[in-house]
Amino acid sequence: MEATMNASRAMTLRDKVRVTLAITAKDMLEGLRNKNTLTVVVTVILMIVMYRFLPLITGANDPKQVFLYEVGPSETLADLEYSSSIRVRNALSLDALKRRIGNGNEPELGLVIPADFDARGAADEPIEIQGYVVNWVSEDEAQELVQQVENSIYEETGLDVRVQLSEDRIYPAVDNDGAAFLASLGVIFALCMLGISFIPHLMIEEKSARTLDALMISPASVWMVVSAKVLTGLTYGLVIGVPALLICGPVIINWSVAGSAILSIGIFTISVGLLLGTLLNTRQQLMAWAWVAVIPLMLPPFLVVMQELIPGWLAGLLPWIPTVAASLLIRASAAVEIPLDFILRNLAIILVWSGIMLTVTVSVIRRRDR
Amino acid sequence: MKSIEACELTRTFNGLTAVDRLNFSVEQGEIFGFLGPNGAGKTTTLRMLTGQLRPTSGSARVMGCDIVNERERLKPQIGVVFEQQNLYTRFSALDNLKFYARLYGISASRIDQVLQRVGLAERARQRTSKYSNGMRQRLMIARALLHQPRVLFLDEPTRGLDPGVARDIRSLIAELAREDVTIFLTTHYMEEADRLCGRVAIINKGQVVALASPAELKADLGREATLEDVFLEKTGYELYRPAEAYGDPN
Repeated sequence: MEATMNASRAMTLRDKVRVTLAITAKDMLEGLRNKNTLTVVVTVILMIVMYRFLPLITGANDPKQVFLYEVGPSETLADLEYSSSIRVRNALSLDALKRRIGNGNEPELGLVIPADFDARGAADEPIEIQGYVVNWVSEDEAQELVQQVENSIYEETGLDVRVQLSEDRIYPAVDNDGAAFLASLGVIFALCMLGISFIPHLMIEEKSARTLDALMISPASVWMVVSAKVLTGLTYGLVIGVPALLICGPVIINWSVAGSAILSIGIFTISVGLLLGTLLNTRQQLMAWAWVAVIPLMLPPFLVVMQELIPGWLAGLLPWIPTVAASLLIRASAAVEIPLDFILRNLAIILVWSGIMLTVTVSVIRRRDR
Repeated sequence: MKSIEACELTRTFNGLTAVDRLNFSVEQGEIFGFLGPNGAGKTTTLRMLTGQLRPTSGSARVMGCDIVNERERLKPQIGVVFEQQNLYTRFSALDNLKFYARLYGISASRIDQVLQRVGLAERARQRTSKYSNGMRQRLMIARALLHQPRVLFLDEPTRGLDPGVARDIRSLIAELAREDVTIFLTTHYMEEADRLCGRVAIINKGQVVALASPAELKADLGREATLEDVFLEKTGYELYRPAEAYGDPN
């Protein structure tokens, strides 16, 4: 008899994988047949798309930002502050200019104004100035920006200036707070929404339908059930993650770092969702507690860029929060060089927290037999 | 050979004793009735014997496996029909059984066999949310039989079913026992227990108050006594209406 055969041997790793994948497949199929799941997934994708494109629509007519580093002060260019088509900011050094450009969250132009700018203008000589843009701005966007700035300078000063774009694009710094920062918030928000609004149902439904009891007397162990639900969450996370990654696409250059960060924060938000689903029993309870859970997840990455406004003890805690660690990693993935210890430390923070959450989830389920 | 052996099996919840030092054993292929009023500890005992609940003290072995320390070995040897129906209602009967077949590593041909056996083969592709109560119960039994367990635990399997389905299920239980499957049956239907069970244990307030064959228990009480009379007597239930009002000849 099959049962006797099965009973005579312990479960092999292959058996465990088979059981885990069977539960994963079941959960995914159930998700597809569940209107609530589809609603959550579609809503989150729409939110991501809006997050990406709304600023482009609302800010389409905003003046372009130009940073000037004046090697010698130019009185002529002072007139640019009256321009309605460009907004001029000054940088105190070339490094400062590069840093400001790298921190931008929209295409911006950095110009190095030569010391003899005014003299050349007065002598009607052709003026060529060096321009810089950040790496993720496309060639077409860069040329359009240059054209717009050249026209604005001509309109305000009457000078025919040619901007020569540097072939060396500017790369954001590891701790940039520009486009990569916004992209990190978008990705983390999408995964938090998945973790809090969809994943808990995987556990709540098993409990309320009492199918968890049937699973617990089957060859499935608690760890297999939980692992299967993590895999299900990651698969749905992929559906949400692809549009989120499209947001980051142009910004990120270190895909391995960004990918590791997104995968690990995905596991973390899923583990939070599973714990919520294990502790709560009804959809109503979840709706009440989801908003309590979302604050400590979503707020800290914002607070990181305004550390001077928050108490020191809170600023000291922030780096230990998984969503902050993920945000730091995604931000850093826009930089050329990222210190290895920075990557490992932040990944470790996220994964250790995920491990803690999953262990607590498993122990809560196990306590059902106590 | 003994399929189930309980030794001083005890379970307390927050200081309240639900099951109190139970001692009994069940032979292979026997239909063992576990009777008791609501809250007597029937389901708690069943949950302990199936490894869903840890005993506070005492021990039990099912098919030689310790219910606490050898749960993984125990699982393939038992099937459980739960008191409350717990199926994946977004799935068809076939999909439900396919899922459990994957868990147990069983071939798909076995699914057809159990569907035939419980009479659901014709409607196997229908969503279980559309099923009647009786059909769902038959599917629960099919699920419990899928991996050919040696011991089948049935928690009130005919509760709320129409007489036809209930009779089908009783016939199936008797058939399984003839195939040497041990049946541990909890029920509130005394006639069902009387007809099916080789022996019954009556528990009250967590303790076994009677354990013998239905015939012996009835004989002990007196001529023409029914198992229901035994049950009422052993559990100390006081009727607040006279038995005659029901047309009881006793």
